[in-house]
Amino acid sequence: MITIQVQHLTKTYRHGPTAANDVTFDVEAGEVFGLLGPNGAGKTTVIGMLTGQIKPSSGQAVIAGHNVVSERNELKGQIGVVFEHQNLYERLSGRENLLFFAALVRASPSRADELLEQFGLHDRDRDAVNKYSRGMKQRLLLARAMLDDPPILFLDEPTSGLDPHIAQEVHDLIRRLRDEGKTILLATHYMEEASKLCQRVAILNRGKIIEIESPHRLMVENGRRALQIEIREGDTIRSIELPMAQAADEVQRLLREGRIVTMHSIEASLQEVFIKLTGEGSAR
Amino acid sequence: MNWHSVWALCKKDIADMSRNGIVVFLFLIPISLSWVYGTLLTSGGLKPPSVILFDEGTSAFADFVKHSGIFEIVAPPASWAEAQELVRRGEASGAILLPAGFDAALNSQHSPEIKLYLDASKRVASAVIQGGLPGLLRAYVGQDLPASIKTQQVRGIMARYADVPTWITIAILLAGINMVPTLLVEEKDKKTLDAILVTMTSKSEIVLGKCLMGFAMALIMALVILVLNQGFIGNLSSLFAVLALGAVAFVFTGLLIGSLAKNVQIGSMISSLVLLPLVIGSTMADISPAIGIVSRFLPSFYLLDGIERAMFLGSPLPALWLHLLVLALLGGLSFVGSVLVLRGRET
Repeated sequence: MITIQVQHLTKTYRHGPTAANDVTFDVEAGEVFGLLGPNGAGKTTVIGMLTGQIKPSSGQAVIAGHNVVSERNELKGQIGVVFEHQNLYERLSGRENLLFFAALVRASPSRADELLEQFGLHDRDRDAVNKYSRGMKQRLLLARAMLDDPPILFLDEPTSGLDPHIAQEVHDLIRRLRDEGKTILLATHYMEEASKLCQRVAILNRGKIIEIESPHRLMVENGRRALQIEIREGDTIRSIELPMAQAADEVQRLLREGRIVTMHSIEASLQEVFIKLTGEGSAR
Repeated sequence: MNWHSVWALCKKDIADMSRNGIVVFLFLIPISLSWVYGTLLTSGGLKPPSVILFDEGTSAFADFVKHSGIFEIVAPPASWAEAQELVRRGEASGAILLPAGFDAALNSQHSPEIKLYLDASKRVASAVIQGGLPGLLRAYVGQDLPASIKTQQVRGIMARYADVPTWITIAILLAGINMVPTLLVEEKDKKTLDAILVTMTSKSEIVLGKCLMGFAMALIMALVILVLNQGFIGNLSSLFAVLALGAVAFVFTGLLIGSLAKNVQIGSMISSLVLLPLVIGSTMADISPAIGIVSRFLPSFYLLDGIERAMFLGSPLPALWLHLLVLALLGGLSFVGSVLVLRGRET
């Protein structure tokens, strides 16, 4: 079942560039869908339009059966948003932050306590947020987005600027939400993150979608197809790379000679895919 | 309108602002200053003007003036020219020159000349010296006034609360124009407003929630100043109507500033630019007729004047219709402006 349906969505600012240009995609219920592109590609604008913060110039989007422009209030009950910035009330405690937003989304105070427990923040829930680490703040942002248990989550660069181990922590939380059946739209400029978490990704460049596919398929179709083989040469071990087309004969020969130590296929990284599709090298 | 959300916003702002040192400082300043100044005025009375009494001879009138207690006598320098120089330098409010043979001239009814040299920038002191000296002279020669003056004080203004309307006006302006914009601009600066706007909360609810907080802050400041300075006098229903409407009007004005400002720095700059003329214009309206006319174009004049009329003249509500109308118009226009600016923000 399609939960997010986006058709020809365009946003042109009065004195600025076209931030999103004819963006079209669908997201299935329970899917983690990635919006992948470098900074300034238009990811935040697309999320802004889908969450009712930015009015589209043209096109339309329907989320959980609600038009994002004409049925904005009905839409708000269906979505949770984690913003790119850690927009929390720093002088208030983690619990006070959640209690405030719980009041706004009509969730019970006990739901706030439940989420603090669930996201591992209950030990520090009375501390001011300005004493939290970046990872704790990110967990609190995810907990805030979950207050009214929305079926759809928008995550805008959820690991941007985080240390690798904290990013891993956030990835685990996103996987947990995916396993709970949430539909997640994840905007990121990290190729590795998208390939780890998303079933499909839309590659966005300069406001336009240039490809929508599963990360694996993108890598297979757009990457180099080759084998990497470690071979023995006397007392040393050397690594060679063979294009798939010429690999069969060469591998048989090396097997006969008993020189193969290890052998595996080389998969293109999403970065290589991005560069191939856009002809630009700005993605990480 | 969801009042549950409005109340939640107000409660959150109270908790947040109570931990903001600058806001707490701004909250306490007019309250503490009003109390300190009120106490000092009551306990010490008014300071007598400082005067140099330069006697070219040895007049007994000089001793009479010294012991009258009306002036604070500054030790005279060696010459009249030096005395004038001291006044020019601001070390005394005025100088009095008694010519040689002053007493003898008086006794022979030759009408001697007393010279007065006054610092005109010290308006109150100059008036006291000019008004006080003829009275002292008559008393010295034992001359009765041609008519008796029977003084009856009206409006009962005691030093304790004479300045209360000014302090209350400053407090309401500080709360509305200076503190309230911070409530909204910080939300924009830290992007927390975006998080509120993706919930069911409407822009009107956000504006009202913040107004409730600002209104409470302004009213608490005004009430504490009234309590500390025993200012519950005059027509209390008129006083509270002007206070309440004034607080609402300037809190909404503050919210309009907060809506327009892109960040905290710009917000502070606009607040200062708006606050200064409002404070100065309203508190200096009595100085001259011209300033009085200009002040009538400032809404803060109607707040201060309304409070003064309610407290000191006991004016009933109908007599303050113009004051209430100006404040209501300001509040209404600012509220509509804030909502429109916030609404335009999403596109």
